[in-house]
Amino acid sequence: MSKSKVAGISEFKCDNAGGTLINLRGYVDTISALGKQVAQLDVTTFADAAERVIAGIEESQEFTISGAFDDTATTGPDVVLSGRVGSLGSWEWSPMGTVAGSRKFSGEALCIRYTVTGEVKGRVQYEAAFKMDGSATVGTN
Amino acid sequence: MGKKISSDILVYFGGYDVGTATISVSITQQVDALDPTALGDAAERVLAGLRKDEVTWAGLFDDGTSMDAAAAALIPTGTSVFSVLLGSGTGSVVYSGTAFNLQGKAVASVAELVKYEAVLKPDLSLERGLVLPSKTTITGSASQGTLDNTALTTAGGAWGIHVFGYTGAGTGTLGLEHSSTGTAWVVLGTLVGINGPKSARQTFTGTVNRYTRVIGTLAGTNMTYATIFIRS
Repeated sequence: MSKSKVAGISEFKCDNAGGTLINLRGYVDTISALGKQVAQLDVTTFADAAERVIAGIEESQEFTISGAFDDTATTGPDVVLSGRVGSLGSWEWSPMGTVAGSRKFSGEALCIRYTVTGEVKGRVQYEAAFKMDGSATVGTN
Repeated sequence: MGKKISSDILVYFGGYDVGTATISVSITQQVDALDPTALGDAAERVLAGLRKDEVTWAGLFDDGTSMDAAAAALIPTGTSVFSVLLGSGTGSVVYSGTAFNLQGKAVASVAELVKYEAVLKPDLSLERGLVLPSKTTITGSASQGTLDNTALTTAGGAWGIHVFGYTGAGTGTLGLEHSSTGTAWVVLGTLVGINGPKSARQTFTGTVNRYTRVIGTLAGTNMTYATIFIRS
């Protein structure tokens, strides 16, 4: 195993409104940090010389994906993501590609926002925000 | 179909085409995220709450264009059909809704152009549809914007209409037609009595056939309009 650049291998998939996992790697240029995160609970007492902490339940992370707006039918980001606002679905994030044994994060998430933005002289862009439901799975392809 | 640049975007607000004054527009579909996590859960849970979509819009303030008039006409509580088209061709994606102007502000700073900012709040949610004809002018009876959906749908839909202008005597009519063959057409809905700028939204239930188009008729000199269609 080794370090890896993003280009050409990173892959993000999420369900469309019909519950079919769609590969959006050709339409995503940025994904926010996404992995596993737990609450930290403070159990420090008078007896402690330093702060103590224990793990709480896994926190629901919010993450975003974004890129150039694209209205490609059926599998493009506009038709997939606009239909997902307000619904739960599966997602998979493979930062190092999908060869056997490579890291894969996955889970369920609610799509809480889909935004299309256009500014003069710029490209039309989209951003979708998700909030995780339950635990993220840290596994492999 | 594909990626878009800023010049691909058209913005219609009621009977006004404000795209030429617009410098940015942002269409947001969103829901509240409610927390139903209970003691037995090993991880936080989330549930969808109410939709709270929004459109923010900024442009150059110009009393020689329709932008200020469009905004002023809708403050404080008036509603109108609002459509953001991501392409001018028939079949381009459009986001539309019945919106009121929640907020409209003129913004001025030294050495800069005066700008106008608005926040539009759709009633219920924004809908994703397809453009039939974008802004077009007819001088007599004409059908426009024939769109092939590849298959019929059975859950009805909605039709958004923007009329930007009408000149001459009498009134005009716009009709939405559908067809299973592309040759024999049946009327789904009509907007009558057009004699100036206006907007409207009509809904339909049941089957909408594979093909849709708009047919315009007028007694006057010309009529300029655009329509969009949303299949449910």
